[in-house]
Amino acid sequence: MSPESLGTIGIIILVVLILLRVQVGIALLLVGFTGYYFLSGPDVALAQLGTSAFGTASKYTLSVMPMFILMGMFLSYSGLAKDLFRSVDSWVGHIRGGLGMATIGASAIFSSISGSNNATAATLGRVALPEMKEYKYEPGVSASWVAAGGTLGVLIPPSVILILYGVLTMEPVGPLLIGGLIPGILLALLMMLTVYIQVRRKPSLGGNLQEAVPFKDKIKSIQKIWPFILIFMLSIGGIYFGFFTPTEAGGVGALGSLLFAVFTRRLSWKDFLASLDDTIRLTSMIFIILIGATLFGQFLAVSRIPAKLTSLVVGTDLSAYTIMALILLIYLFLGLFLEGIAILVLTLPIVYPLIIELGFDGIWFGVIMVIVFNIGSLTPPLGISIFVVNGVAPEIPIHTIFKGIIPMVITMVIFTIILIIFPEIVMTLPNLME
Amino acid sequence: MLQKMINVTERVVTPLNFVSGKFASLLLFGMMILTFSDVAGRFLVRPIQGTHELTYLGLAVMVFLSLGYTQQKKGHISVGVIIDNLPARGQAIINVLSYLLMLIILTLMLWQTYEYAIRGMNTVTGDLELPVYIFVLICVVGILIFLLTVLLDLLKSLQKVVKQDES
Amino acid sequence: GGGTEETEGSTEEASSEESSTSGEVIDLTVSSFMPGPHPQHKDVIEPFLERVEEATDGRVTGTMYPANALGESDAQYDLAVTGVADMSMTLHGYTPGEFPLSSVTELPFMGENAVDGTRIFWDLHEQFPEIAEEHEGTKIAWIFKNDAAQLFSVDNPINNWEDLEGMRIRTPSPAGTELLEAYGAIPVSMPMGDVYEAMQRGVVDGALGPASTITNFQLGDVMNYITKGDFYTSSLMVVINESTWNRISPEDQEVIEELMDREMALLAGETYDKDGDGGWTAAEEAGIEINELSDEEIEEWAKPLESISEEWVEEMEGNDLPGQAIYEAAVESRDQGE
Ligand code: NA
Ligand code: NA
Repeated sequence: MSPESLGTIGIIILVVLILLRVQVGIALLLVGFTGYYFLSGPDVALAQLGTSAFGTASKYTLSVMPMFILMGMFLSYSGLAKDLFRSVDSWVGHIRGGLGMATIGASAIFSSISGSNNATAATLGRVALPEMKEYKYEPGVSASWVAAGGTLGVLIPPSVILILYGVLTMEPVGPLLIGGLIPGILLALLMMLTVYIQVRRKPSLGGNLQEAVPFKDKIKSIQKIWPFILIFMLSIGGIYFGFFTPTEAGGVGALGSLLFAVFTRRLSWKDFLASLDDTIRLTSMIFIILIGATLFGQFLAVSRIPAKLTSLVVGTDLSAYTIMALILLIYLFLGLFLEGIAILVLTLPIVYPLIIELGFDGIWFGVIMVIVFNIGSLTPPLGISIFVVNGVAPEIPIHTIFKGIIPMVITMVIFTIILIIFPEIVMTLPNLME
Repeated sequence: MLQKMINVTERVVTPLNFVSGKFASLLLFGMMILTFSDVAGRFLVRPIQGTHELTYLGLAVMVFLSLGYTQQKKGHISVGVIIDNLPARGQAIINVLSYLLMLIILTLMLWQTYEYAIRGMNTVTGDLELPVYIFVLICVVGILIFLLTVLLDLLKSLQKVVKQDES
Repeated sequence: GGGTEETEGSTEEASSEESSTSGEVIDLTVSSFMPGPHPQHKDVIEPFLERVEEATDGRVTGTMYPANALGESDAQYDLAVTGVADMSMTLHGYTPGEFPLSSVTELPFMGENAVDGTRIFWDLHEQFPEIAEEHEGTKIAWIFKNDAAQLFSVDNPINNWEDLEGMRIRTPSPAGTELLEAYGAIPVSMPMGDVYEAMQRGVVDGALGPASTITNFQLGDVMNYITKGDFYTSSLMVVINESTWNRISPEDQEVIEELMDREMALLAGETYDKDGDGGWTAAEEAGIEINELSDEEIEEWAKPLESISEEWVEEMEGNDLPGQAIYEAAVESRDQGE
C-alpha cells in the first residue's frame, strides 16, 4: 500500500475513533502510532511514541498556556465577572436590549483574561441570566447572547486556541494573540448592534427597561474593576511592546491577579487551591491532545499527504480565494460535528502548508479560523458553547437557544467575509509589533 | 469478584491521584513564582540562570503528573455526538472497548518513555547541567498513574456491562 | 525510517525505472532541524543523495524531512539512533553530555573558520576511535564545523566583555555556556530554530551564533549589533542509523562510503564559510552595527577564557577519557594549519 493511501485510511480511522467517543488525544496517539507501525515498522513506531511524549510536553513556548489559564482562574474565582457585568450594565442598561448588550460587553472584557469560550460563557451565564430573567427577557434569546458573547473568549487575547495554532504551525504566538484583539473588539460591537436590532424588530424579546444609573454611580462601578484592567494592560501590553515573552506575561498576570484578589479579600484559600486545581486539569487535557497531535502530524508528514495535496491544489486553476472559500466551508462543516481543538490538530498539518503556498498570511488565517470554529460551536448538532450555557441554566431548552442564536451566526458569517476582504483589520497590530 | 478488584484499584488510584495532583499544583505555583522572579530580576538586579529550562522541565512534569487526576475527574475531551444517544448498555460496551485501546497505547507509551529516559542517561541540560532522565522518569510515573486510573474506569464500565446482563 | 518499499505501484517517482530491475529500494528518511532551503540541504545533503542514488543505480535514495518535521531539535540525534530517521543532521551541542570528547573542537579559538575547524575535527576523528564511539548506534557520514560564533545583541552594543554582565544570551552548547559564564552573562540554552522569536520577544538579550545564521535563520531582522570575535566554532554531524546502514549491500556500502569522506566534511565546512560571508554582507545591508574586535581586544577577551581548556582536560581525565591526548592533538592540528 502506498504511504498516501495509508495516510488517508489513518485520517478516516481517526474521525471514526473520535466519533466513537475515544478521547481526542488518545485517538490521535493510536492512529499516529499504528500509522507509523505500518509505514516504518514497529521499532520506529515505538521509538517515536517515546520521543514525542516528553518532547512535546517539554517546550518552553507551551508554558504560556498554564500561565494564562491560571490568571483567568484567579480572576474568575475572585468574583470579578459580577463586577464587570454590573459596571457595563450601568452604562448601557437603560437602552432597549441593554442587559443583552451588557452581557456581550462584559463577555468581551472577561474574554481578555479567560482564554477560553467555555470559561467566559459559563461565568457570564451564571451572572447575567438571572438578571435578564428578572427583567423578562425571552429565555432562549438571552441564553443565546451569553453563548455568542462567550465565543469572544478565544478571539480577544489571550486565547488558548490561537496559542495552540501558533504551536502547531510555528507561527509566533505573540503577534497571533495580538492579531485577535481588533477583530475581537469589532465583533463584540457588532454583536451588541445585533442585540439592539433584534430587540427593535421584535420588542417581545427584550424585557422591561431598567432605570438609568446616575453618572457618579457609573464611575463608581468602574473603580471596582480598574485593577483588572491594569493587569490586562500590563500583561497583554507587555507582550505587544516586547517587555515580556507571552509566558512571562502570563506569569506576571497570574501573580498580579492573585495578589489583587488576596489583598481585596476576594479569594479564599479554598478558591486559591481550586484555581490551581482547575488549571492543571485543563492544561493536561490540552497537552495529551498536543502530544497525540505531534505524533499524528509526524505520521502524516511521512505519509507525504500534506506535500502531495498541496502540490495538487496549487496545480489547479482555481484562484487562491476560491480555494480559501472552499477550505472555510469545510471548516464550517467540520465545526458542525467536531470541537475546535480536534479540528485544529486534525487539519492543520495539511491545510497550513497549503494556505502559505497560496500566499495567505498565517496569522490572518489563524484569526479567521477561530471565528469559523466559533460559528461551529454555536450550531447544532454539536454546539459546545450552547451546551455550556445549557449546563449553567438547564431550565432553558436547548432548541430554543439554537433558534435564538441564528441572528448572531449571520453576524459572524458577515464579519468573516469582511475580514477576508479587509485583512488589515487583523494584521495592523501584529505588523506594528515588528 | 469484579467489585473487589474495583475496590482494591480505587484504594490505590485515588490517593495516588490526590498526591500527584497536589504536587502538580505546587509545581504550577512554583513556575509562576519563578517566572515572575526572573522578570523582576531582569528589571532590578539580574535574571535567574536556568529559568528557561526549569520552566519547560517543570511544565512536562506538571502535565504528566496531572494526566491521571484529570482522567479521574473526567476532564479529558471526547466527542459524544453519536454515542451519547445510545442506550446505557451500548455506551458501557463502547466504553470498555475505548478504555482497552487506551490501556494498550498508554502501556506502550509508558514503556517507550522509560526507554527514552534510559537512552538519554548522559544528557544534561545546557544551563544548570541537570540530568534530563530524572525528569523523564517522573513523567513515566505520571503515565503509570494515568494508566491505573484508566484501568479503574475500565473495571467500572465492565461492571456496568455485566450488571445489565443480569437484570 | 521510511525503509523498505515494494516496487509495485508508482509511488517512487524518483527512481521508478531503476527500482523495477533491482527488487528493493532503500529510501532513506533524512531528518534535519534546519529550515527547508538551508544551504546544508541544497548544496550538501541533496547533491549527496543524488550522487548516492546514481552510484547505487537507484538502490539507495533519500527523502528530506527538514524543519523538525520528525522531532524536536534536541531529539534529532535520538531519531537516528532509534531509526525514526535513517539519516539525521544535528549539532552535538543540542544534547549536552552525550559527546564530551567531540566538544574539544568547541573550545575557544580552536580553528578560525568552518573549514579550518572541520579539518581539525576530521584529523581527530581519524586519530581517535573514541570520537566515533561517542556517536554510538549510528555511523558517521560526516562531522564538520560551522563558521565561527559571534555575539549578537538586540538593544545594547557589546564593546567589552564586561558589558555582558547580567545579559541573557542564547547558547547552542555547553561550550557556549562556559564562555558566557566566564564573561558573567546568563546563558540560555536553545536550538537555533527558536532564536528568532526569542530575540524578537525578549526571551534573550542576544545570542551566540555564526554569521551564516543571519541569512539562514533571518536573524538580521531581530538584532542591531554584532561583536565579531570568532570566539569558537560549533560542531555538527550527519549520522546514519546503524541497522539501516547494515541493510545496504556491502558493494553499495563501499560506493557510498567513498562519497562521505573527509572531502564531504570539508565541503560542508566550505558551504558554511560561504554562508558566513553572505551573512556579513546581509548584516551590513541591514544596517547592523558590527564591532570587529582587534587583535589587542581579542587578547583582553581571551583572558577570562584561559582556564576553560584546562578545566575541560581535567573534567575528561576525571571521567577516564583521554582528554589530555585529544586536546594536545587538537592544538597540534590547529597550529599545523597556520
Ligand atoms: Na481571551
Ligand atoms: Na456545531
